[in-house]
Amino acid sequence: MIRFSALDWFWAGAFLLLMVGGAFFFYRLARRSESDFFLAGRRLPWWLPASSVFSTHTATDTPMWVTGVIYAHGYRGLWYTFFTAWTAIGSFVSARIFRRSLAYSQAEWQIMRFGGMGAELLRGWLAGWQVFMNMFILGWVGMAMGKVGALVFGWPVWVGLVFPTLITAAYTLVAGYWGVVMGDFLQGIVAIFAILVVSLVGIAAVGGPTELGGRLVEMGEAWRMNAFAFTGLFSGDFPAAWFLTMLVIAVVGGFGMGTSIDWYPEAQRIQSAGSVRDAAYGIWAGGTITLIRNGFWAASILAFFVLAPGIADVADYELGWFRLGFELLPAGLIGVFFAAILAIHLSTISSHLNLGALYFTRDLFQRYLSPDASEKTLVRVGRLVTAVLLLGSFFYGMMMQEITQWLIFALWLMMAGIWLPNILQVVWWRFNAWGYLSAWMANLGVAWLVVWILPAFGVFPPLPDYLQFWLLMALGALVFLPTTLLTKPEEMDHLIRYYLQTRPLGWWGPVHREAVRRGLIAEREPGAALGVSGETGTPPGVEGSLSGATHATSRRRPLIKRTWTAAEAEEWTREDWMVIVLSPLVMAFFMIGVASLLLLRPGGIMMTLGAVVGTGLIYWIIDPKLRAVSAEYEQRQAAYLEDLERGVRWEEA
Amino acid sequence: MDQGLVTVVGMSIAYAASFLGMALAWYGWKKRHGEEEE
Repeated sequence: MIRFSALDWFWAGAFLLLMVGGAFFFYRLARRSESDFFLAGRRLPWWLPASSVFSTHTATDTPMWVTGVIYAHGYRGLWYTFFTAWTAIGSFVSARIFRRSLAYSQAEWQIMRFGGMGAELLRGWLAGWQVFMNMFILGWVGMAMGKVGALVFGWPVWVGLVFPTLITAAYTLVAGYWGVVMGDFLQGIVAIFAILVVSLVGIAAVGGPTELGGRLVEMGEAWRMNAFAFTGLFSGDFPAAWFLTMLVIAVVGGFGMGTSIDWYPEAQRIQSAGSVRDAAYGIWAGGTITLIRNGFWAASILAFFVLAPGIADVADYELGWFRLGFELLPAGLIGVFFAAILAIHLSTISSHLNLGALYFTRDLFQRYLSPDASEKTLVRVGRLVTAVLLLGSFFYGMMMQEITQWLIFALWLMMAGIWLPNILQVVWWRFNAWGYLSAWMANLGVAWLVVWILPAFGVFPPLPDYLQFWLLMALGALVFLPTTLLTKPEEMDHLIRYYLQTRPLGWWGPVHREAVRRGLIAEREPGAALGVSGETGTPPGVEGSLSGATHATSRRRPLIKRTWTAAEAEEWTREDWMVIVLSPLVMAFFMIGVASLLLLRPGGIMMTLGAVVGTGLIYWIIDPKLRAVSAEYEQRQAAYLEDLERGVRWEEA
Repeated sequence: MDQGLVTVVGMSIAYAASFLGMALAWYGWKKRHGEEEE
């Protein structure tokens, strides 16, 4: 148990009042409309979604499982946390496409991308899944808070699970997403402060960065400072094949929409951003700060390892970061540290309460039960569902034991069968609703077979998780690819409508050509995808997004184009591909660079500086294009939104 | 309760929620198309 001084109680109370009280200010805004309750009116500047992404991804359980993987694997364990790097490509590809769709949620997006009954069934499927997943996440995050409460105050676990969550529910019920996002901003600042201070204090407790490195060498554990200390290509407890699998999952996954536990909170933040540009920067900045945070945590966990080596029980060493804070900070600062723990708890709980309510209210209640419900009714239902989710999360939280095991299970298995379909639905016009739905269903059966049933009957031994991933993906493909090809493509009218609104990346040739044939858009310039300008003209009678904007030009195109018309910016060009390649590198450099810099390791400064320069370069390359896309699109947004609302109420568009 | 069993129960509930959502979508779709036919 930790002893709190009067000053600690003061700071904890003051911060709690600030964080919760601040959110209540937005009560009036939240009750204006469904859009305000769930998307803050779609008007947020990029830094608010960014802080919300960071805060939502920094929960009470996060320091536990990050501590778990770093304590067990050293800096190479950082790659476990690299799944957040889907935001590297996702910010500039899937976020851009999704923001333009104007869908409230990933489930709603299904009926824009796909058509007919298949799309409706998918929307219901994903909404049901997400209502549950949010409750599930609330349960495991709440359980982590229960453990912290037991560590700090000796409370029974259920006390930490229930009471902090109830406080969060109060302002989430009242202020909706406005309260969530504004609370996230304040909570994010408090959390960053605590993470920096505890990490530095932890390193100082060992005697500083040089001493920390020296002690690890003396202990024969120097490999822990090397993020690339793999045990072989396929052998050992940390093979390079695992690392490569994680890289592919995270980085290439950014082309798609949706993983089992990520993307869905970001979808809400993407739509709440004021423009396509704000959405892209919000997701990118949120993902990057999250990875930098991991670098700070990792350094402090190495310090914890030196101070307390040889802990065998996961449940004991996963509390390492909390122990650093509570055992090393002076009186007064312990209260601030506890406030920061409450902050990271509140921010995640509030996000998932509101998000779960969104999926039920918008995707199930409004779509299928009461399409004519008034805005007032929808907000009421949103609040009621928030309360129901809260109660469900208490039940689920009490069922959980090993937080790390749950999370790794969720990351690897629940996404394995749908990882590729998540990408295909974005980049391949022929992929249809039946293919995606079959992938989801097959995922469950195949996961049970590969992970539990077949090993249990001795058909093959339990496989390492990276092999499970590839096997699950391949077996899933044996179901969804034939299903896609044996069923009809989506209606061309539907695909063209989606194509014109979102301008997706990938294999959309037949849809593009049909749109050109109908005179809805101009023919793509030869080599446009590589950014090579050519002679072209606008076909007669062209209307729509490219009207009057594509003109023949004889000027030679610069390597990096920095002046765009809206029509030119709609195309995927060389600049997009430069950013797609550069962005994952920058994120990896930030994470490993900061972790190495904190130990004064060679290369730490260079990697961090490289990441900073890379960030500037990304901005310089892509900002003019994002500005052009945003300016044009925002003008048409009101009309698109009207269409969307008509569609939700089953009226003829 | 055995951890493996907890995991299986958890997954089953998650998928049960999905099936429930899909059933609701089916109901909405049939209702909508039933009205159109009438």
